[in-house]
Amino acid sequence: MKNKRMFSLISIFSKETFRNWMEVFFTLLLPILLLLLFGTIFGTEASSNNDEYQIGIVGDVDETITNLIPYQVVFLDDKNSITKALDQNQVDLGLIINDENKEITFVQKEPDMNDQSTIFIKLELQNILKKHYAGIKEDFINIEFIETSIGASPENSLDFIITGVIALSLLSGGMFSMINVFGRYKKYGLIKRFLASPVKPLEFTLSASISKLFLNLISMFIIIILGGVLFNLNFYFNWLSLFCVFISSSIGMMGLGVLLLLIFKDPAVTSEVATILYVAMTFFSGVYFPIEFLPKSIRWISNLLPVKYVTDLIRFSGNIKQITLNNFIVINLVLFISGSVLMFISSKVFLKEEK
Amino acid sequence: MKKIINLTKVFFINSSREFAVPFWTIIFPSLFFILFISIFENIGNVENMDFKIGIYYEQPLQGIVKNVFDEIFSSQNNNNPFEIIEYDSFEKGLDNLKKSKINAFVIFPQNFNLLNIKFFINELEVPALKVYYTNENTSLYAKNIFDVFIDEINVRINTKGEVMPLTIKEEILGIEQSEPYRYRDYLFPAIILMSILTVAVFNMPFDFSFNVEKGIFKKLSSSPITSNGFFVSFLLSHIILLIISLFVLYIEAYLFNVSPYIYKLNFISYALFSIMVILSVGLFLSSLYKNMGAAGAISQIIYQATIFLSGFYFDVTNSPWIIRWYVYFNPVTYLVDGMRKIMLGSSIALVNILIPVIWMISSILIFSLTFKRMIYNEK
Repeated sequence: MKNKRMFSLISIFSKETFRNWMEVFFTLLLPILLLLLFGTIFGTEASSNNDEYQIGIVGDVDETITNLIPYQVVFLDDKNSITKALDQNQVDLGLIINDENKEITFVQKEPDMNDQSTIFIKLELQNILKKHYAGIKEDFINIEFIETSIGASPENSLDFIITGVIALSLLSGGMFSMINVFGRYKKYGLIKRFLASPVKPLEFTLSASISKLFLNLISMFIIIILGGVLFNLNFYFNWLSLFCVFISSSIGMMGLGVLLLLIFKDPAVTSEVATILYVAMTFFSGVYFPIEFLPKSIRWISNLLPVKYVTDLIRFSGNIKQITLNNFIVINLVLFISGSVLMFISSKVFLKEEK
Repeated sequence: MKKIINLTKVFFINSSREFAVPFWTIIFPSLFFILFISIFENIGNVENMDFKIGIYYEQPLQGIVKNVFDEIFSSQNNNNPFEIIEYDSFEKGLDNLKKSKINAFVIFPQNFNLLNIKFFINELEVPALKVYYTNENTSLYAKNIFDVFIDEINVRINTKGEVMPLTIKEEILGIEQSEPYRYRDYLFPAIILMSILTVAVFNMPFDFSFNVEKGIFKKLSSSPITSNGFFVSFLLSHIILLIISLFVLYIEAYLFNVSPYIYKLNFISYALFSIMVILSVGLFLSSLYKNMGAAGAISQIIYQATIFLSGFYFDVTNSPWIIRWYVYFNPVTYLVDGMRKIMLGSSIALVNILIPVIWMISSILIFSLTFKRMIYNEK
């Protein structure tokens, strides 16, 4: 294995990678796009305090009720003014109270996906009013909620989303890079041409992998820097463990890409299957919504997908997830060894076939 | 005419042979619809939830309090949305919370048994339950549900188990409905538009750039087929695929009992209008791409931005300005809003027609100016 030859190959592969729009998109742009989208959408929600939640109330309301409601209360004249206030985002929820009939009506915009806080607020308001009508002045059972940080610094919901986006970017970058290398290059007959040169199969695989690792590394740092600058991340990475996770999960995912190629043979079909797998992994990763929201019958799927474990490793490196050191080492080793073995096999199988 | 029919057939069969085309146009939106409603309609459904709550008693419970909580936390209790795990040490429970083995950790403090006496002497102070949680989303939900759960128990204890006569109604933006507005009703217009977007943003531009890249235009120009004939066949082949996709989605909607408004003429007419608008934009995009690589990457960006920033799945009108401009700029926001208004039985606003029409006219104009040039360049 000649160093100069390896260096030239890595340089060639890197240039070729950056010229390929789809690869750059899936490795660099898609994670950035998802970070901006979910960071701005869910980040605003994560940072917003429930005390800022505004409820527009219509009806002859006793002052004791408004004192019981732990949110900002805006008094409105009638149902139409609730509609107007909701439309103009002046209130988050409308509440019409009919004291005589003991009837309450919640008025809201269409329910949406990240509107789960409203579900709990409505349940809380129902109970407040039930207590009021039952003449309950004091609760028998009181609760004191205590927020606990997992790591050294207090983390917020957005920290979990951003570490999840990093995990998904490592997955997509690793998986699609190998499908591109052995799929696209094989399709264009590039591997055959390389093998006519003194390049050894292992050199080819290694240099291709290193150039893709380099792209993945750039992607990861862009997300971390952007996340830090735009969304004020509350956690600090342990860079050594993050580097280990980066290497093992990228190589593990490259192995998965190769495995898909071995199964499906045709690069176009493999690419489609990989895209479907990527979409499935975003659903089953627990990054955007808890896995507990999935129907019980299909939750087990998340245990079979590597995304769950890579997300855990990244969160562990960011000190916002606790797993045992043994688990950390075992998961890293499984990813690294399985990925390396698959890539070694691929360098034999694909490059031999080309001959 | 026969030439157009034959060419349409060829285009349709050709694109349907590609695994990706029927999958992303027909199968994926259908699966997405099922998965999303099974996820988001289950929130708050006790049967689907199994949050794990850790419990630690600083002092064993006694008397009525013990009976009440034994019954509440019993696995036989159908109203209990939690799996209860009892710990014999505080540290172990807290450690398991931090390791995400449980979603919330409840401490029954010393002297909590005073609650037995409080049932008779109201003025007595009883220490509060301590609930530890983390900011992981599962833990936040478990905490919120536990809060509501205990609140409900408080009401029951006070009313001695009697049900409070409080009527609760829900309305969506001032429109009272006999049936509750469900997430599936909210999602269905988005799924229809998602399917149309797949055809407009991926299938059409990919086919166009493929034809340019492979010199198909050149080959067709040496045949008796006119450029207009080619265009009509191309468009028809994609519309046929789209109609199949919508047909499948309507069958699914029927099976899932989506609001009957989707079968009304005004909804179907507006859906057809949406097809015209989005396919026009698809033609405009087709005229922009020079090769398949660019088409793939730019289409992905447009598709992802549009499905997340048009109010398909969540409200985006409150998002920061850095992304909000796209919400108001793209026509799909107005189309999904228009469809939802129709589904709620209210009339659509001028903006739901005007902005999509501006997009449609501009797109067709740009495409018609560039279409000939594309063929000419190919020659």
